[in-house]
Amino acid sequence: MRLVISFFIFAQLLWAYNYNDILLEAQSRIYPKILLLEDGFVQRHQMAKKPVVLMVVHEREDGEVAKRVIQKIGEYYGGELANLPFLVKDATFDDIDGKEECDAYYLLKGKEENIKKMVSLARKKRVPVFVYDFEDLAFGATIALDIRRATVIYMNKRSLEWVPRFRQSLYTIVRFMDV
Amino acid sequence: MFKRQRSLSATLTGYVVVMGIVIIAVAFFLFEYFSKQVLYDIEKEKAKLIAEMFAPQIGINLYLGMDDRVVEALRQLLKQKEIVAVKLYCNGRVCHDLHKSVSAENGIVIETSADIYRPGDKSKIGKLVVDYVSYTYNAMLLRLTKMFAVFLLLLALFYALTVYLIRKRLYPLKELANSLVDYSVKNPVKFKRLSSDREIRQIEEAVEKMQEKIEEYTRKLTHLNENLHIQVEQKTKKLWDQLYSDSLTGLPNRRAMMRDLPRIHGALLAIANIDDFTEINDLYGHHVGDEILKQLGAKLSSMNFDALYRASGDEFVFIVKKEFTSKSALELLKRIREEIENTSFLFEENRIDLRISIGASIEYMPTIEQADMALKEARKQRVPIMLFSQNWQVKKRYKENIQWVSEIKSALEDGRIEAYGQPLYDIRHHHVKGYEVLMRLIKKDGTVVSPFHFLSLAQKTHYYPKMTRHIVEQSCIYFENRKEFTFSVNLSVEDILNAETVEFIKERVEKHHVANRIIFELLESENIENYPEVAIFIEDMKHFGCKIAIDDFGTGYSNFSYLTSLDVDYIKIDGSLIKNVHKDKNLEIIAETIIDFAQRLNIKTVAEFVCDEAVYEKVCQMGVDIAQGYYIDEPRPLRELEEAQKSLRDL
Repeated sequence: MRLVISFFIFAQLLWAYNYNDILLEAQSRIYPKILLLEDGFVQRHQMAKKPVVLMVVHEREDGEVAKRVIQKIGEYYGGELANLPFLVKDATFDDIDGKEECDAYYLLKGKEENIKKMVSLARKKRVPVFVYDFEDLAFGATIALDIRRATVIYMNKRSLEWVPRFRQSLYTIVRFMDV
Repeated sequence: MFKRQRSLSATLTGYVVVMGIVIIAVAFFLFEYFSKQVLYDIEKEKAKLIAEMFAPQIGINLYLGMDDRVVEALRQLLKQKEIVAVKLYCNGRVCHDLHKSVSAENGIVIETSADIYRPGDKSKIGKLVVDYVSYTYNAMLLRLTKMFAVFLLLLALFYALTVYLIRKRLYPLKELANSLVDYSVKNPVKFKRLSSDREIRQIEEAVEKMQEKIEEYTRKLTHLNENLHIQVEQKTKKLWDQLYSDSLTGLPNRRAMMRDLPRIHGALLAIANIDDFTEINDLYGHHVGDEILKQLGAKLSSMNFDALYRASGDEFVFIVKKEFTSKSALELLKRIREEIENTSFLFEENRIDLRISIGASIEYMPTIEQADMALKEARKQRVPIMLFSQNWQVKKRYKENIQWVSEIKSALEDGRIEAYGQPLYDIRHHHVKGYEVLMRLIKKDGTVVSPFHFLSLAQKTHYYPKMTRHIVEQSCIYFENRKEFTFSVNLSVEDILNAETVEFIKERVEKHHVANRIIFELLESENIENYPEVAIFIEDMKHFGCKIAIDDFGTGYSNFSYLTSLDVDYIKIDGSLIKNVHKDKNLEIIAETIIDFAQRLNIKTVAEFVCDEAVYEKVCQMGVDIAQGYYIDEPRPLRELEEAQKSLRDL
């Protein structure tokens, strides 16, 4: 039994993506704040008395990474974002069907079709899509954070057609990608 | 020539004022150009800064197609107090144009623009144009203008103060100069010590020391002059004594007699001559003769005549100032002769008795010639005493006149009244300008006689008009075809008063076409201005084109005023003034006065009697226009003039 469990765990680790902890740390801190920059975001939640929900979506093999992300956000924000209750949930790409309540998706690494599927769902829900991988912006994701050369927030210009508007200050600090 | 003098203080003031004007002009230019421009640029920069501040935000929204946010950004921009209008250009056309109604009365509207770029790169996607109202521009400009006005005022005060100080500091120098104007040795200058400036004090001290030296030098010079004056007076007296005294007898000599005689009138003038004095000299020797002369001089001196002279060897002249009849004169002379002849003259135990002859004149203006003539007549008639008689001269003159009238008549008949020409030399242009035509009588023996000897007599005869006409005709014929020369003919008042002569002259002048070259010389000494006929003649002849000259000007009748009324062209300065003009200062002054007067009236001057180089040089120096005289050439028959002209010296 131990062997079976060990194999299973090992297999999971074998198929899992590699993640940069520093990037994850940075994204965990910045993405919720970007969410706050959405026009009327706080007022809307205060009036509806709804918590802020960030859905971390991952491949099945990256469940641990997702847990780490949730933990980091929890440590940093303590379950509260601008005095609003802040919930961070996780789900696999397969589990998401668009019916779940959330204010934004945070996509870890995933297959192209999964990313595209999430973008399509988000488009319908009109919520922004944060991605771990900068290159996923090419599939229609909204925002990515890159720290390879410098810390840069990228925003996909085309996604702005359907995502809520952000405050002007965000637009002045992001770098737009027209893909 | 001295440069025009300028006041030092005025010069310095001038420099300061000019510098002030230049500085003010430059400052004004800088203020006008730079201050206004700089202020404008600052305001424009502010406007641009505002526009550029909004440009990125607008750029992002424009890039993202968020038109409402673009408008919102533009409105925010428009909310700025100074921004009154904004325009946004997209793709080269106005896509948004917003403005607000604000009065720009107290400000100026500055339009500026900022380019809109796509976020992330430098590609231009639009242009933001804003109208900016600056309310501070005019206020700042006003403030600057006030500052500039204050600056100008201070500058003006500075220059005024500078000018004032210059004048104040230089005032003592000016006072010093003014006080020196009236300086003389008798009136030394005392300075008021107005200035505390060391340099001016030094000048004052130096001038005071100089005054002291001048005073001392003048004192010495005055003393020296006084001594010299005394010496000169003594010397002069001695020389006068030598000049006017006879060294043998101590009596005034012949020179003194000639000096005094012109002033004698209404007196008896006598010459006493020792008979056979040569024999005394021969017999006793000249030293005895001299001794006798000394004793006779002493004897005559003792007779207390009004004047006594030793005229020559054994001739003594004495004057008694009293009116005499022939009888009383003869009685006096007889007494004098007897007293002398009764006197014994002794020399070394020799007794010498003298006999004397006396010739005397009691005419109103007695002359030595008259007394001499009387002495000769006494000797001729072998009488000791003789008084001069006028009859002797009248008879002589009458006889001479008869001879001259006869000579004139025969000369006219024989054609021996001939026209001579003497060159008139143009001093300025160095050539013979013309000739004066002169009348000459040729005696049968060929002797050439000047009219001086017969003209006054001829004028009293009926031959005179013929003589004048003859000369006029000869000269007109000769000069008719010698058009390069002028010629002058002498006319007297008698000629002009003779209507026939005048008519003859006019007719000949016209006939021979010499009107513009003939000059009529009228004698200055004939009181010509009193004859209306003369004025008419001059007017008529000038109308013809002839010229008029006044001859012998300055001979004692000189009257400048009539020269202007008679409209003459030439003045011929009399030879008596010219021939010694280089030696006699008085003559020079008179001649120069005439020349100066003539030049002022634009009348040309002719100097007659230019007899040598010295006279010629002098008349040249005095500014005479034409020279005439023997130094140029002597008068020659007209037929010889051309030949003579070739050999004329080049002056």
